[in-house]
Amino acid sequence: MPWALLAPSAAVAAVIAGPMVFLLGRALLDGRETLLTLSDSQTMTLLASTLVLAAVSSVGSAATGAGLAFLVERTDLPWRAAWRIVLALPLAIPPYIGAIVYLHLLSRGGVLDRLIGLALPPHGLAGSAFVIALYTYPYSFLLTSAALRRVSRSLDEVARGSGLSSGRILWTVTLPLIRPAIGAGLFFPALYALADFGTVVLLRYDTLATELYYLLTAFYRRSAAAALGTAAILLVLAFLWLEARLRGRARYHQSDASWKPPEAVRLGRYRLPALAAVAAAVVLALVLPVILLAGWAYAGAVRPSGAERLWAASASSPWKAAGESLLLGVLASTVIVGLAVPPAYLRVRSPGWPAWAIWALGQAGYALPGIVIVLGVAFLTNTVAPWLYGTLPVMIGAFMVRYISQGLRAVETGLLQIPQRLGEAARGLGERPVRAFLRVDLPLLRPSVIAGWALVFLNVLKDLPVNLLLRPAGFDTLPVRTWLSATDGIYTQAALPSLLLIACAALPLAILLRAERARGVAVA
Amino acid sequence: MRSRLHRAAAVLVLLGGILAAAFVPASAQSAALVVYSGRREPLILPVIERFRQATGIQVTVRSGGIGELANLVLEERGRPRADVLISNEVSVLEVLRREGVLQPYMGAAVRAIPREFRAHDGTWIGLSLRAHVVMANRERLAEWGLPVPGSMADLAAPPWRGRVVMPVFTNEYIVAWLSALRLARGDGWTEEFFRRLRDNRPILVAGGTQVRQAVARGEAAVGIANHYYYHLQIAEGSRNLEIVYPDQGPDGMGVLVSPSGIAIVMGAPNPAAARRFVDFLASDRRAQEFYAMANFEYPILPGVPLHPDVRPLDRVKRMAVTYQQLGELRDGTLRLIREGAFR
Amino acid sequence: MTVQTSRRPVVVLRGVVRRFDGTPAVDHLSLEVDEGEILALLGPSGSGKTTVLRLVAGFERPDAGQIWIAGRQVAGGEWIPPEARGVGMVFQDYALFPHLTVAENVAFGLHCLLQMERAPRTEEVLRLVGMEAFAARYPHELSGGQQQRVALARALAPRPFAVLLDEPFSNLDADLRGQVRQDVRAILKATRTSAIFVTHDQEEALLLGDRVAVINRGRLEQVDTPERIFHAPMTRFVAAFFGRADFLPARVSRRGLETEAGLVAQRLALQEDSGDGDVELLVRPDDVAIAPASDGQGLILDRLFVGPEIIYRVQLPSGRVVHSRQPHTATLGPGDRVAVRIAPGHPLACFRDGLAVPAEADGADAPRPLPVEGGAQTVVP
Repeated sequence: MPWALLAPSAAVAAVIAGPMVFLLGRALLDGRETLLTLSDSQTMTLLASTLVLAAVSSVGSAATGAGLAFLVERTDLPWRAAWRIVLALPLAIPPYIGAIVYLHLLSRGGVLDRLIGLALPPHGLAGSAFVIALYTYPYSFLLTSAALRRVSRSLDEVARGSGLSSGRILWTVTLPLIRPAIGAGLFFPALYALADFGTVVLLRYDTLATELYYLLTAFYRRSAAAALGTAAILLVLAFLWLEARLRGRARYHQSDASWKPPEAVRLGRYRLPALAAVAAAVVLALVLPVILLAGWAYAGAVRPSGAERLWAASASSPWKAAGESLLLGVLASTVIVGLAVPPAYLRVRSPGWPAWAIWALGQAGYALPGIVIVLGVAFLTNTVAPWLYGTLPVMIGAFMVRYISQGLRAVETGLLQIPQRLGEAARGLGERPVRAFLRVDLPLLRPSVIAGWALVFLNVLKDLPVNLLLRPAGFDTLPVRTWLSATDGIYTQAALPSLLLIACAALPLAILLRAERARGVAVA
Repeated sequence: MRSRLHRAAAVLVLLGGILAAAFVPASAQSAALVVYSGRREPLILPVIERFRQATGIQVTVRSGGIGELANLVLEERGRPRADVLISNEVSVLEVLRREGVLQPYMGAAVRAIPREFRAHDGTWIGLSLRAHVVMANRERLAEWGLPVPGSMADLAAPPWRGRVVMPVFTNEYIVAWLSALRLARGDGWTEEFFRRLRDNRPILVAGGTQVRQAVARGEAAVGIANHYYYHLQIAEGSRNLEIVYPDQGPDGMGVLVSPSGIAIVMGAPNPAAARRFVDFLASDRRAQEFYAMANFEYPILPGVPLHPDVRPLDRVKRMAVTYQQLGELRDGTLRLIREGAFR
Repeated sequence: MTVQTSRRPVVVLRGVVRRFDGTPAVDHLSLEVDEGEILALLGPSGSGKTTVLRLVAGFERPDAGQIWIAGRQVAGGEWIPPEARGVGMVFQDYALFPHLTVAENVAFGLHCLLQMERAPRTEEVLRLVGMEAFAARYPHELSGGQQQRVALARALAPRPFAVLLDEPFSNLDADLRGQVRQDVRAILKATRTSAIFVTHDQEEALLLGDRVAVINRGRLEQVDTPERIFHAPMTRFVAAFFGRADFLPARVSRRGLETEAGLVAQRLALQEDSGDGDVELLVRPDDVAIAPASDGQGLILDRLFVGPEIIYRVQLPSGRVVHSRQPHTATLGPGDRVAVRIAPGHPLACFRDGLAVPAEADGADAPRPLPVEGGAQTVVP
């Protein structure tokens, strides 16, 4: 078995490690520039501001997600089944679109200002953390919901039997049990905040990613940018360590046959405030943006200005872009999740440093600003496999670097729930390892694989840098269409592709939610 | 069970087929001219379409931020993929020229372009001109009791604290402008101006689009950007805006006028087509008219009419700089920016 | 242990070693299982017995030693992966495939058969374990005992050379366990299947095994018939592992074995004058007779009422405690003084340095008489 696992895992590792080794090499080759950049007091300031953003957005995101999950899973909140779905939907909206929307709503002279004379410019730390938290909380929500659903009622009853109050039970029993989920819920927004460029640049907050971007695009100091990229990788490793600490030695709990949902907490007079909180999350993250985008799209269609007409005339059809986005999403997520299975298997069934290394590389890929990955992939492909350049496989390779971590997590979570004995039983019955895997593990793994597939699909749909810079000529996906119009401020033209993007993203999201509800698979 | 395996295999084969098909367009289109364009798509696509109709040469365009595209050209230098690079700001082309990734070309049409708007060695040519100006929100000026600024230097004065919006200092337009200031006023003056401007806490945004929106919303009283952003904002229906060509007095240094440009990439896979493309753009009057009318830019070819709302260039006092000078000063300016902890 | 031609060993282990992080879990273990034989692997938890099973199945590779299955070497030299060994495995938690029905589970290992032969074989095996009515059910719809049967059926279906059972009854309720044990033994015997099963329950091992192999810390202590394991333990460990066992120090003298509970007339193959004549004598509760006596050397500490009989804990002058079995009518109570006498109806096992000391003139391998019922005569006042 190890070879059947090691070979594809090594191939995956090579693809993911490629751009990072390239980055490291560039940083090391120009040691002076690297030292200069890393010792720069400005770099330290930016490191601090990046960490602050990561901390604030991840705490905000995880707290929001976990709180909503608790309300939906453990209380007698009305319409819980509907909230369960609706609350996950903001995952379909790219945060940079959220940033544009909130700039228009809250800025001076924005919608709110004109309506009630109130301007709350969403700039700087507060605004950036708000938008990032608003569009990453569904991770924490889905993870915590799944974890809460796995906590058995008997534990609750034992605790109650020993005379604990509901509050104490939440604190001493439930919270520790869902701690791994909360840890993962903290981890995602933190990594996202490291990598994000679009949101923070629009909301005027400087991080390592913006600095890296300016080093590249203004100074053309590619070694310095590589040095910052390396620093980002180190940060990810630190985050990984932190998350591992937070997770402790806890493992995923699988509900057994006797599992019963714990009794719902009666909200009583808090029913209305709770309902308001849940509704507020949905309105802020979903309803307002969609209304604003729809309004723009409508205005652009009904009474376009000259510039808008110009855009409308020249831009390729957003419907074609939607088709290409979906095609790309299906292809990329299928390849990526397929390839995530062997390393995930390796990590769960024979843990050791190779498996850990692949996993850590995947996490680093998620947290690296997209542009460094894209440029690294461009250089490597152009040098090593020029005939591949500008084709979909290269895009898929770059997506793999950025998003395989999501597939890995989903598959791993699923594998942890499948007893190793089943595979051994199959081999004892005369099946070779690969066929034993295909006949036993894979069918059982299906919900997790589907969940991972949907997650990668979502991210591929929303991704900007890879879509923009590595697309084959003429392959204009929805984020490209959105971005090209939005950077020019022609929001009426950005609106339709954005809405289509959200609609397309709703598709994998629906699949995700179904997979997640079918077997209680943790999604990430 | 077995049929399920077969079905999975069929799906894999299908996906493999689609993936394989993805290779085809790349090889089939290898004869097409590849254009990396940092210019806004609606401004370049119609021109390219007419080039295609005129010459029968297929063109594939990759639009994106010019900074990213320039980096891509640098990463690809070992095996160039782009034939032509179109930049919204000529200083990027100056950077690439100095990196040696641009191919000089001096065709007849190129020579017809005024000498000051093309590289002396023929590595790039200008396509259109833009003036670096100030736009003001009249209501905010009145509200905050501010005068219409007569000079860029005014904006570093205390009354403008927090009232100015401008692109980040590393924005190519700003870098070029600061280099021009160094030429016009000297390093000492520029550095001092800088420091005061920085300490005045201007609102720093990503680019001209954000500047015009911030001024139109009244977030700031004035904004520093290229002139056409004002006209684009007016075209979107803003009524409270005013455009200011600063430093126009007898002692004024004038405004910086700089071109957008086009260049052939060194080692371009289709050099012949690339040259035809440059010739076409350099001589295409309709493209020039289009830039003037749709994007309010100054045409580069003599005799092409200007948009009636735009102040004619002959009534604008311009800074006396060459783009080669700006290119040479660029590194020093960036150092200044970095040391001043500007962004 | 030599391979005799009359016996046909199906599974053979020779000097097998398996280390985990340097510490041996299985230490130079040699073992044989004959055709149609049920071997019980018995040992405390952590003794390495499950590792032995996994070595045979092929889920672990030995660090040294060889393993043969049906005359073919499968480990230590030639390596045969688990799927090619032709052994069936029944896991402690049964490891039924949750996504397959009972019939599909049983048919899982029949991939070598033609499609048309699979259904009859599945049906046949299911009938054998009495589960034919449940063929279309899914594992989670079955009780523990039923799952157990399905797991056995699945292991038996491909007609393996041997079936390996890992603590097969430990997940069953006590009242169900007895019945299932008998059923499993009957099925294995009916199909003449060789089997190794792992257990930590000595009663289960004695009841089900044709032979019992006792393992301690990865080493084989003894492998023998249940009777001999019980009555002629080769080591102090084996003796202690089966039933309630007390060890009394005894001095070997010309008259027999002198203990603080009196003389035991038994001669050992030891030289009395060898100086180090001290041995440990294994006494089980039915070897210890007690009688009320105000000047007796024993003091009753406790009486444990276990239904048909009473077990007394009796303290000897040295402070050592022995157990004595008495009928349920005994009336002695804690604090009573009693005379203690070792009164076995058979020779007692003696140990020196943890190993059995053979009795004089008695070949170690010669069969011993079966125990006499009620070996310890009781004195009831």
